[in-house]
Amino acid sequence: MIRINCPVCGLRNETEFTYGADANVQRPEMGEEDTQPWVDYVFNRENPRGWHREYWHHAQGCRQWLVLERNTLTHEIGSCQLARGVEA
Amino acid sequence: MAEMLSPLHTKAVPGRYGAAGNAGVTLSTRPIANLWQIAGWQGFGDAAAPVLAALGLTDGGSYRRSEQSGEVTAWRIAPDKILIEGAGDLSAHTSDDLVTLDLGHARAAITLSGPAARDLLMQLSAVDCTPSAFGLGEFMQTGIHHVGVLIQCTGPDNFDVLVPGTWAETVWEVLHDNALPHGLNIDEAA
Amino acid sequence: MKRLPTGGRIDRTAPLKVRFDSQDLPAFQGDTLSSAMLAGGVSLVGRSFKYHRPRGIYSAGVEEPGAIVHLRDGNRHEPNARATVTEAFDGLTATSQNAWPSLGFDIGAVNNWLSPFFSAGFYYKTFIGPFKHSTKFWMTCETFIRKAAGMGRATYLDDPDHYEKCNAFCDVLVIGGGVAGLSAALAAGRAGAQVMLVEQDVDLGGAVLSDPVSSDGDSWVASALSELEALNNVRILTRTTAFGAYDGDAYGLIERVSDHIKAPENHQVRQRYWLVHAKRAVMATGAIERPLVFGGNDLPGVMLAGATRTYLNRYAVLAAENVVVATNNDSAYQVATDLARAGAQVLLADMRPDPSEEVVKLAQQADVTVMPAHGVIQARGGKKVTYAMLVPVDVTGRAQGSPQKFEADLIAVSGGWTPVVHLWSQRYGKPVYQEDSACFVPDAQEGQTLQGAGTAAAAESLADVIAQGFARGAEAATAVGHPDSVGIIPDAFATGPFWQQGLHPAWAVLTPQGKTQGKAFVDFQHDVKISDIDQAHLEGYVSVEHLKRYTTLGMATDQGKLANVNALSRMAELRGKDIPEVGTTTFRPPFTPISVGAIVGHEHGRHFRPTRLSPIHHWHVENGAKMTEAGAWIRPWYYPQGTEDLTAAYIREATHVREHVGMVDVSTLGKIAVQGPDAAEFLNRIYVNGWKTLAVGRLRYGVMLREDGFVMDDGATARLGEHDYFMSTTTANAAKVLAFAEHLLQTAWKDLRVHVTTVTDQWAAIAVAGSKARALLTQVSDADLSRETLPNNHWTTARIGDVDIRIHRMSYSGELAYELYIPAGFGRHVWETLYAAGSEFDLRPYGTESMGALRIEKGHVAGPELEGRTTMKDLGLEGFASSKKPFVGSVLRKREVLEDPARPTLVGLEVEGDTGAKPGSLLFSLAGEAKGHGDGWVSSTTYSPALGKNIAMGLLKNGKDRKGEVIRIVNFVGDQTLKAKVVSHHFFDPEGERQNG
Repeated sequence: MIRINCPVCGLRNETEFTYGADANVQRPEMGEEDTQPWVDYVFNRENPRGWHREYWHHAQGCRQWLVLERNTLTHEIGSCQLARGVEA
Repeated sequence: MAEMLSPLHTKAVPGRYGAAGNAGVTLSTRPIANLWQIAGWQGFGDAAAPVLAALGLTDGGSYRRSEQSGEVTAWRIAPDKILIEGAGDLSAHTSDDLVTLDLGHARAAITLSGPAARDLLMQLSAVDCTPSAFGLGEFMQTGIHHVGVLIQCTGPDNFDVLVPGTWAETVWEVLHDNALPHGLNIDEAA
Repeated sequence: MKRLPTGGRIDRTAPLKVRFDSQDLPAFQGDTLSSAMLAGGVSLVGRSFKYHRPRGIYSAGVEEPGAIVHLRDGNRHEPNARATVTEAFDGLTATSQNAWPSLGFDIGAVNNWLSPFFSAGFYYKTFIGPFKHSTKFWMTCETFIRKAAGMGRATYLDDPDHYEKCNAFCDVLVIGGGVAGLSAALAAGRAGAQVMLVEQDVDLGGAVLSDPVSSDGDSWVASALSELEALNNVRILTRTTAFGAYDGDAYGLIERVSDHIKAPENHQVRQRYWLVHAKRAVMATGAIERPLVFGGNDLPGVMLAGATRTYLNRYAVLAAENVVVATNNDSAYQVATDLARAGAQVLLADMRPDPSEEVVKLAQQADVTVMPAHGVIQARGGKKVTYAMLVPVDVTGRAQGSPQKFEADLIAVSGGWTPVVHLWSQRYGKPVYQEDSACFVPDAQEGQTLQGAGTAAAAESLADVIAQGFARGAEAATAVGHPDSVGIIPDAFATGPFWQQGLHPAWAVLTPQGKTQGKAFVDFQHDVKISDIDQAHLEGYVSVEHLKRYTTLGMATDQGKLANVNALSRMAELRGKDIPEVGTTTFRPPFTPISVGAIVGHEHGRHFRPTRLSPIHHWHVENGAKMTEAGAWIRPWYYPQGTEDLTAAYIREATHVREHVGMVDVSTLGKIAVQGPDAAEFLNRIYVNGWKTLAVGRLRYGVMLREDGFVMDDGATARLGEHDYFMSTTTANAAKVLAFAEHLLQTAWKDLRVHVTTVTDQWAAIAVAGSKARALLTQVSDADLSRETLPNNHWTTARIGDVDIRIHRMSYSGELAYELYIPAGFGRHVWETLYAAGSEFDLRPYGTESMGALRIEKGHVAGPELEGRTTMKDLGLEGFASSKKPFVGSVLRKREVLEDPARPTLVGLEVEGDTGAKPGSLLFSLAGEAKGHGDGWVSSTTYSPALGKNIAMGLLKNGKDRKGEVIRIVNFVGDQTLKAKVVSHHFFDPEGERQNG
């Protein structure tokens, strides 16, 4: 059971959240016309052994998107911030 | 005059259900007079302050404790969103820094009380509802039966559950069926 | 076997009616099914999994591999119940399983003689060759083998009972209510922490319950319990098993609320599934005794030594009068002594050459004959033990002389003890081997929030058990911020030889050649013999995990609780290594079997998943609509008249809309308020078409793509005000679109001053369609709906009675049509107002089936076309895309593969003949074989009343260039081939004259 410390709602079970995406990838600017940056954004992912930053959506809560640190090896949960407060 | 129909109008059938003995849970519904959302962006606090002040409220900045003044209740549901019940039409406050939205028909209110009310909530939502963790005037946004709800603690063992209207019956039925082992009393809708 | 006249923890004033097969058992309150069986002289309880060998009662606890039975009958019938943990109750019925035609005469026992064919890896080797069509042949054989090899039979009836799920939060969870657990709970409770103490047994006390009544242990437990019960921060749950320890300090528990009675009473649940969030946990789960390996060690009458003592002291049942006790440690001496004092003749064979004087003296004082350096090499008997063959053994367990025959009806064995480390291991990985106590123990590390205590952590004495429990409890309380005084540690009390005292690590008694004398089992439930381990070794199996799967060792319902160490020690011996080098298999939840019902909780039947209802729902139901599921929504499917079936009803409804006027409940459409100064910019980015020029009072159809360039959704958005838009989405994609919009606004587009909020629940929506729609709405509302004032893609406010609504002019059916948006609480009122006023216009409600028929006639795409694999180009929607601005998916939609002209594109199909096509059918040219994936597929299909023929939409390779071609529609599932002409998917009124009228 992943427990996520939502900055708005407090410590909650993963059942209230949905997983979003890898939070390390940065969406290209709207005007970006080359294909490769979009391919990288949509398809190309690191698959790290260890700490990973990822988007979670507090769908059954405050509906905020969060950036959560999660260790893919140990299942440890690190910091959790509002996505809007995180520099991409 | 057209009658505003609660999503739960077929559900709140008064009576005594489930286990014999003292009723552990009492369920009922109450109407929502009106419900508005105000939302903003950077500087939301400043934009919201006059609205709240006009209603006799202050923004305590808490995501856990609702603000109350007379019949008006305000919940800070997100960093830049406040839900306000009982304050009437707030559309006049719309500006470049603040948007207002009428949600008066979007929710149903289920009232839940009794000595087993907290136990029932903890069966159905994964949050700590014991008195020390969830006290009078506090609220939580969580899920019941996969539906996002807002639960407000209104007394020692009393709660209002605000449910999106189209999900209200399914949430009511789950509360109802899980209350049967506790002994269920359904009161006339308020 | 007999019940003693006095003693035990049973209530002799409360006799119970308990039945096993055709036999009434003399049971009392406080018995288990197995103690009642022993009291009633039952020795043969079941048949083994593979060889159908006789199985009896082997233990007195959760580890039981043999006494596995069916419980109850009818819809409460339950397979694979362990008799040893089944509390006896009045009216309990149990039956034997895996035996036919009867337990005593079981035809499947022939497998025992065929056992060379059923050895390790049987499945992997047998179902290969050597015949032609051998796969089919073996599949047939497997049916019979599966029937013979197996456990209980489940019921097909619905479970009548209610189960519930409950979340709990505490500071310290103490798992196990024995001496260690009670000590831990005392320390944590005194310190002020919120404590949950859970015990799988009905009573607290653990091993103390196997001591004679009124021993010192009893008063110790009573005193601890009374103190705990007085603490209001301590909650005690009995009959509750902690079956899983999970990340995030979550623990899964099953509380058996009503298993100990015939059926739940007064609406109570059968079982409760607890999900406990505990900041710290103490695992005080005790230890399980280990078997010894010798020929016939699975015969009924071979039993764990400690279990015989439990039956004696807890249930006042003397399991036999002629007992051989076989041991490699001190703990069995107390068993021998207690049995002898209760009147049994006891011979104790100790594999060790020099047991301590102290224990020998203890035994001899009770007239137990002690034979050091002796072991049982074989148990003999038919359906139960009649003789024990004893041999002198060396320190490794090899026979040093010829066997001697001793009469015995019980062989009580003790190979030492195995700490119950399951929960720790589930959480933190492999336990470590501790040489001096010859067992696996938790590898305790700083920072672990679950810590072992007591015999689960290989405590060395009772004082150590108490000290460990108390210390772990106090540490846990301190760690969670309750450093209050924990008071004085409870004193220890006197016990007999403790736990693994004097353990000698030899578990098998073998011939001088290193063989077993007859079949010798390590896994009693899955019939895995020592020789199977040997064979796996010969075949090159090295890893324990592979050994486990190859031999099925430890894979039965007992999950190897007894088998593991004996198998590992054999493997280590064969490989010339020691046990730690061989390692152990991974422990996974659940610790003991749990019922699926408890996991499901209330989420079955009508609560299987949440359902969503329109504000007008009850009108539909009251007026006879047949309802259907659309995602979570329950929607009116059709409104049958008289005896109409679906087909007749939808054809009539669709025809009626084209000829008169109909109304359909479209409240399920996703509705999102898009608000803020940058709302137009947001729409411009998320939709493919342009939004900056849309005036207040107008609405526009839009298409959205996913980031990868495929179509995500479509719908209309109305501009309600300067900074205020009302977006509609398809019913199916509403949640996805909202979450996607929130994601973009909170991550990539933080600079946009826009809020999106769902208003699906705020608005009921009704589509009124048909040539008389304007006339009807003009009559019931105050709005001017003339063609000039309200052309297509415009909206207006209106009043119907005293209800303020919005009327959007747009058409999905292709008829003159309006969508009414009504505050949800007035939705039904407006629907009924329309219905009443509609009689003079012949207004009829229509359902989703006819709505689908109308949209297919018009060639509008919907869910079956917007299925995630289609592009705008595929669907003929490319014309909507703006070339003047970037939008979500605008770059990736132009990837080469998506621009391939050979991709299937949307076409219409006019089907020849009277039979319609099935969605999902494949499309093939007329010529050639119908094989493979074909040229495309059918997405939507209906009978078209307007055209008088069966039509369909589909995606067809080079579809644009194939208009007029006749192709085949092949449905491989229904073995149906149809012919169809490829046409434009705009079947009906392609110019749109009707909707613009």
